[in-house]
Amino acid sequence: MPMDPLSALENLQIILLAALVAVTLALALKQARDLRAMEQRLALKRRYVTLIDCGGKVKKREFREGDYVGAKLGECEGSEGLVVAIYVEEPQAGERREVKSPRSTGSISRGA
Amino acid sequence: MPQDTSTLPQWISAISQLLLLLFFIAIFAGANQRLQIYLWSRDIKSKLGILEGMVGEARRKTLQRMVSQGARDPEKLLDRVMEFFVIMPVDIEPVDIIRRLEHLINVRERRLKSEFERALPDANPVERSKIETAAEITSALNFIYKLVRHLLIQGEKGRNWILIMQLQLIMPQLMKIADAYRRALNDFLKGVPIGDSAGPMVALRLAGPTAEWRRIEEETVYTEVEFEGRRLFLIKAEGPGSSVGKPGKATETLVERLVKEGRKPKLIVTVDAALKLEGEETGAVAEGVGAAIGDIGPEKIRFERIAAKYGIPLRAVIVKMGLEEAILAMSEKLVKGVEKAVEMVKDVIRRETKPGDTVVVVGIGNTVGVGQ
Repeated sequence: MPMDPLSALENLQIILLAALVAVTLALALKQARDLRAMEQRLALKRRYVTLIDCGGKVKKREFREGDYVGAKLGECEGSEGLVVAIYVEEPQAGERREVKSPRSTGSISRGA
Repeated sequence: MPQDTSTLPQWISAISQLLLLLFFIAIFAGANQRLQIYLWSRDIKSKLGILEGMVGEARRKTLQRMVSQGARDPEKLLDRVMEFFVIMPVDIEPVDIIRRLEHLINVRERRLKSEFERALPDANPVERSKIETAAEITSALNFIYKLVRHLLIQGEKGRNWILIMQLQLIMPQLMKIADAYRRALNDFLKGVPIGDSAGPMVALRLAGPTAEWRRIEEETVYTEVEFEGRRLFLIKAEGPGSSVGKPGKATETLVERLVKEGRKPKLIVTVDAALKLEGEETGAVAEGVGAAIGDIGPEKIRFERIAAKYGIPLRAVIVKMGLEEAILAMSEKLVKGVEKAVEMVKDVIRRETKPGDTVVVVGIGNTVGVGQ
């Protein structure tokens, strides 16, 4: 049986209203998700490593404060090794620092 | 008997029609723009909150490091550095502009350096240079925060939806830059080499571990080594503190000295980190002609002038990286890029000079985490 055109219009209006509400909610959720993703990225842990050349054999260890490229360290089984590189390894998925994210809790001042 | 017409669908229809009517009236009254401005402003304010947090975190870390080094009145000094500015020289009269610009840059550097020397008399120069850079990063973050806040308030005050829209559209890039600065602060305070340290690292690799480095200009060192029968003069900023030195001035001094001694260089090679285009690989190397240096003018022009004065070929080798990678701790890809750049420099020297020639190689960039 064909649908009454007036009734079809009423249904369409309801669908449009529902769609409007859904789009607004989706946009709000997307914004919240973007901010959360940004905060998570800010809290990613980075690992610094030092490469030491021990007479042709390269040794890799965790970076220590004071290391620098060109430094001569006595870490090659008694003999002297040369720091040839210091770099950061890509953050591992799931690794997090145990610190608060830098998001501010204060309100935005309108001052100068 | 009249039929009852107040059924639910009819009520919904009446409300919908009323809402639709109000919706169209609101559109003609410009409510859609206000709603859009509200949504954009809300998004910008959320990100501004994150920026404010970043500035606070950077400030706290810099102050902590200053206090640990026995700084006198660190807060006052940091506030002063954060608001410090340089007024660019008059450019509608270009005569002498490089000299004037260089003078202003030198005055700024000396001013900041002496402020930190006075506030941190017991800190060693390496530690002091790291703190100085940390203060400058805090200042850059603070500037981004203040600029975004200024544009937002200005847009809201004047109901300037175009300004707010533009700000909202560039916010992801600004946040990316701010995030890079925030992470760069940690890397500088740790004292690890950054992407921009590629040039000094190439110079150090070419020199080898036994080279003896001597100071030639302010915070700039050089050494002389032999490479396949050629005399190689290598220049870099003095590390491992955070410094870019004065590579242009040092090259000028060295070339003049070598010419006087009758050892005119046959080639000058500059090695630096360079911004890659999107899609290009991080750590890729390329060679070209000219001075590879990201300086705003005074140092770069010295390379060009000295090379042109004596007709010395000026060659450039670059290690490609993104803007963030240039200021953040070096990645493994960039370490491999440094190796490739070393080989490329050797190749350029082999191709363009012969045994017995003198060559000057300059490793340009911040030498943080790279000693000599």
